[in-house]
Amino acid sequence: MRALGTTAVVAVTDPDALTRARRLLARELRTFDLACSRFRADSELAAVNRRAGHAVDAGPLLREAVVVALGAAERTGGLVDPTVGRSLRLAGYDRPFVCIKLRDERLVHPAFERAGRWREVTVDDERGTVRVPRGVELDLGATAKALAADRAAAAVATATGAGVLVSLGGDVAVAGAAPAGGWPVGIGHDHSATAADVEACVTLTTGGLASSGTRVRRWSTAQGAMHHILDPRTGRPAQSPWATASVAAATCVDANTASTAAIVLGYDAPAWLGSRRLPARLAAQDGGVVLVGGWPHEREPA
Amino acid sequence: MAQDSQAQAQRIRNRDRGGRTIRRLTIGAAALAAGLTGVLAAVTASARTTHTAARRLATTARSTSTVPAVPEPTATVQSGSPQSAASASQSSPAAPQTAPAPSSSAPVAVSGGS
Repeated sequence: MRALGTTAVVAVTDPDALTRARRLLARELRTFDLACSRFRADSELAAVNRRAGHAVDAGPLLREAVVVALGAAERTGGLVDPTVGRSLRLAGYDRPFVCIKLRDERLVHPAFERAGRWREVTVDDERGTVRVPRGVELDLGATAKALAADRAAAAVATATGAGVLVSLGGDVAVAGAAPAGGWPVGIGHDHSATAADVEACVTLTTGGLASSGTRVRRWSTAQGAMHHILDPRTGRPAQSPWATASVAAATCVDANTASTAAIVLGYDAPAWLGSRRLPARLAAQDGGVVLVGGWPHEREPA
Repeated sequence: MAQDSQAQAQRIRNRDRGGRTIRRLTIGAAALAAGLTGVLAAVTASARTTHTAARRLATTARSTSTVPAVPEPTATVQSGSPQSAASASQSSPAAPQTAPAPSSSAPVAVSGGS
């Protein structure tokens, strides 16, 4: 199914649980879209961004998503920063991606503005509000999908008792008892690659696995091609030696936080990931591959 | 007659003296002009070099101002910058309980850019 501007996959170890799993996932995704979409005028996040400088009513899901995004910023020293929303908009990512593909690139003149004000965002659970400072816009793209995958996998496992895998645009979360041998997950530059086109295949039994890349979600402008992973320090698309960074972690949120940070960190990524014992596969722009932190050596995919 | 000759000789000596004086003054003026020209050339070259250096400094300053500063490390990363390999802390993304294993099965899902 399609959701959150990408594709969604759910797999369960018990075939009888599949219908319920699909329903639970669809409900979770609808709720996320209404709370966290930057492009829906009726979303809670859009209201928070519109009323920057004021505390705005926000439901528990948006508050959780913002807290998770701020946690990602804290754990990466600001390399994964939810306050890049304005930078993304100025760089040309100002509408749903399907609409970006339709516009005249010659008319798009990007500007670049650094982010970094994530410490000034406040979440008040007692009053049920979120406040961003004036001049700041949130984008939860780096963590919201991963959070949705973690939540959906846990919800399905709890509700059905089955082992479950949820993938939202390549952000993979597993919960419950994995099938014998684990869940086979392909690794590629594009999550929509077919099984025949993946570059590697690993099995996952716990936690999450996420990939961030610069080859997908690109757009053209009068100043050349852009991609969606911005370096918050400059507001420009990260100039990374890595085309795709894939990381396994305790949760899908942690995996996506680390994979996004790896793209921004560039050549410092292997040391950063290795010191945190995060298994990772870094596919370089030139075709080389660097394996870090216990990521398995690869067999040819089936 | 003799007086006339002496007067004429005196006039000639005076004229020669005047000529020598003019020549000396001319040579002196020329030397002074040459010297001044050299000094001026040196000053000009020096000024141009200074101007170029100043322009280079201005360009560097402008370049520096277009590259935003790296944000300060967060308070939660207690042992240094996020790039430091020694800076891992409990607040880092957590490692999985079990690392992925190699697989030759057909994948259920693909993790990649989206």
